[in-house]
Amino acid sequence: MSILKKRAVFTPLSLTHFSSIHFIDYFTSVIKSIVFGFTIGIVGTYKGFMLLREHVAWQSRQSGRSSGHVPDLYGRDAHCPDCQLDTIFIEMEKQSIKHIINRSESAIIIRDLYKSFEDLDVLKGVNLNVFKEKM
Amino acid sequence: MGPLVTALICAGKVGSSIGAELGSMKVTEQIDAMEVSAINPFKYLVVTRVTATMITVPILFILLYRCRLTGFLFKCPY
Repeated sequence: MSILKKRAVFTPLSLTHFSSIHFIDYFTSVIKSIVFGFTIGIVGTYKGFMLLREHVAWQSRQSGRSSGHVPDLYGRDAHCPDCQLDTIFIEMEKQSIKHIINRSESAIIIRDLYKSFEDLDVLKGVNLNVFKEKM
Repeated sequence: MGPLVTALICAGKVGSSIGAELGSMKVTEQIDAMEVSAINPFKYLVVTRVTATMITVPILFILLYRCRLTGFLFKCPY
């Protein structure tokens, strides 16, 4: 009983905790925070950059097709009812392709234009058709 | 636990906001416009945000740690 009485002494946690803090505790925790911050930044930016691809896959699932559906030239789902603007652009592109066949109507034709600044490609196969009386 | 809790809070707030911001930029083709302007979007969008989170999360952790220690002074009874 005497041993139990000696050990059953309660002290405020604030006093014991402050005395038990060492520099190594702070240091390792800060290193962990840096690693966590790096992970948060990488994951956040990755999800942001990959949003369009996930959006297309989600739309494919919504419309009852497989998620492995290959998107069109611009990475958009042409059959999505919510993407009416994209559908309009795609129709415009189809119309311009019809005009490409009739080359006599075009005043300026550009095919597969590539431009790069060292390693950075800024133009990747641009096609342009300027028709007569359109300028 | 301190860094983990701080990281969870920041992941919910900061990570989602970064993803939403870059996603909106991707959808509105602002990133493509940067590429056309010969600007590397990786440097201007990714590196800055990752560096910012690497700096701010430890600062938030230290702030949270100090708040926790201060809470001990008022909370803990004998």
